[in-house]
Amino acid sequence: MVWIIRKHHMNCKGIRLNLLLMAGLLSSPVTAQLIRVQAALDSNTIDLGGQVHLTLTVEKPRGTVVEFPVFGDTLSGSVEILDKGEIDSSQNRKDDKVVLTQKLTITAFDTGLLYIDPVPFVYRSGSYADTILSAANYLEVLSFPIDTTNTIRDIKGLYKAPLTAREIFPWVLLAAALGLMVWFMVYYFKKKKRNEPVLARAIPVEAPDIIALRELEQLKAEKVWQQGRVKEYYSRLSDIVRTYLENRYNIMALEQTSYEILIAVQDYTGKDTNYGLLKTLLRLSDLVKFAKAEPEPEENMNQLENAILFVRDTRPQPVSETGETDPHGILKVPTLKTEV
Amino acid sequence: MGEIAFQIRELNEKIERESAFVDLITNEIRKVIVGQKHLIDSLLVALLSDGHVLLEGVPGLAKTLAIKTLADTIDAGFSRIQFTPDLLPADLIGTMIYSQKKEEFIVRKGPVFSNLILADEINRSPAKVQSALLEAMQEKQVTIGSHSFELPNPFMVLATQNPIEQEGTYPLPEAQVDRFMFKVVITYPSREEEKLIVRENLAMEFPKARTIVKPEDIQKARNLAKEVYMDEKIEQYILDIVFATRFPSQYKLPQFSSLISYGGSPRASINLARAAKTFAFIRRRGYVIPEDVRAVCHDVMRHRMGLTYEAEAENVTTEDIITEVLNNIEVP
Repeated sequence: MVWIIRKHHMNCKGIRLNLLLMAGLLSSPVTAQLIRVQAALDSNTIDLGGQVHLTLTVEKPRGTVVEFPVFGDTLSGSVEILDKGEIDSSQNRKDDKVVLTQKLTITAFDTGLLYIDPVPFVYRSGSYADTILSAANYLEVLSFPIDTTNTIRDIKGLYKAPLTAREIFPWVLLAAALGLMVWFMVYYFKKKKRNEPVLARAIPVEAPDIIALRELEQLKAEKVWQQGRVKEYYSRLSDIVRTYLENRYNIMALEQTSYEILIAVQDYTGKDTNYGLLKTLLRLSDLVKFAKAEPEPEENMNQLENAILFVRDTRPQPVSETGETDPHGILKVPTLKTEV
Repeated sequence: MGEIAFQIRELNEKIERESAFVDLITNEIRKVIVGQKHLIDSLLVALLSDGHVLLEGVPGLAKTLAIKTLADTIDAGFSRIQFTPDLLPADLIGTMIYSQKKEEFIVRKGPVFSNLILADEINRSPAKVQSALLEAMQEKQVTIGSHSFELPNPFMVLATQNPIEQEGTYPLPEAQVDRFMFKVVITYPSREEEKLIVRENLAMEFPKARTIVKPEDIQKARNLAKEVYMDEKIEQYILDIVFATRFPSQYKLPQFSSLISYGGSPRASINLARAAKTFAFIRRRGYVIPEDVRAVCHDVMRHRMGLTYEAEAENVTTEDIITEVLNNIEVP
């Protein structure tokens, strides 16, 4: 603990000046009050290169200005400053004083007893300035004991730095490229040996109407109802039409009831002739499938013809080169499937 | 083959003729109840299928009025029992009381001895009271002292549950919930319907439903509804739906495997088939079509499936699962 040392820089050139200065000091708000500064070490002894804290404390009345010194890298010659902490403030409400604290981390690489100069703090009040010094400190830096009995060893060799991802990545890339090349060569020779085309060939998927019309023709050719298998005939007939609707309009016709299908299709076809054909077909199919209805042979034929008519009328109309729809033209289907 | 087709045609005509009273009942109920078409259909299907209904909906949605009106149209007895935590089985089924005049114990029958029972807020009472009612529902008889008493025919229970207030309730165990043919979820009426309800109430004009049929006619209609033809394709469709809730992966629904803890029981298949037949009957048809199965599927299935914690965390409901199952199962 160090008590204040106040140095008044006064010029004593005359009694008049002295009196004036005295009057000035008396008018200063802090003259009657005590400012306390302190510079304290955590420990006065460290090993060579060891670290210790030097804590600077200023206790001052509220409203006064006390400036901390600005430090460089060293403190008193061979004592080095490693870290300068922020100035922290706290308030003592009892006697209305403010306590400012700064912590310095210091070290030294010279052995022996080192002297740390008093730390100067500047007190200012208007044009008046004063320097307040803390007490000096002593720091004893101890050397390491050297074992002279051991033999002298050689300098250690260099350590290898660990590999980084950036260094490895080009090699991984190269290995992958080589692997791909090997795989392609094996694949190429295998295909060549089997006399198969090496590259995939894209073939167009059949349009839904083409599939539906083919299956309807096949159903007709099989003469299913003529053999008494009416239920099977209507099941297949309605399935062909529902599959067509699913692929043509992208509605889940296979998972929907007849009523739901009709509502969904109505959005595309409206309530036109085709809608009527579909409604009759689905209703009659339901009757045959679920109520064992037995339509007249003529009705069986009509429904198949109606299904064909429905598919033909609702398929997408191909556009000719002149921009007009050509109902007899061949539709170019944009979707492709891959065949290897 | 031709013989069966002829029989079905005859049955269809007979049902079309004899189910005319259903439309009359519906019209009478609609005079009193504004909206709630689904509730009215479900009540009729349950009544004609000899089933019971679990109703879920917030208070004030005409649950009591609907079942009371139904009772009026079929000239049946009606009892409303408010389930409370202190209710005892004897309060429900009846008890033996000592008659000083006769100097013997006589039977005092409880409110369960009626045709249509409204068990209001069934989950407010402890398990022993719930069990007493559910036993009566299953056995159609109750035992008081050493005597067994048959319950009147038709006998239908409409139990309600409030989905909002769950504190201090005794949720029905899965095994007992399974005994209800339907779980119907009632929603709020539409804006237009509610306007009509407000007007009727302000005018204090409450139409009354006429009696259309007698309880004996209900039994006849039940017998007729049982005769509705169900093709094997429809049976397969019903089984596909129920099995998809048990083994979702086998029905291209692997995303539900981790969400469903248990699927529909065989009782689900039975009730789905029975309800589909009766639904066809109230639509005045002598055969079942897939529409009938889909129309009753949510009400039959929603309380027969268990969801995992994962489903609850992802806000997946049984409604979502049933809808997705129906959208993925191929219709015959």
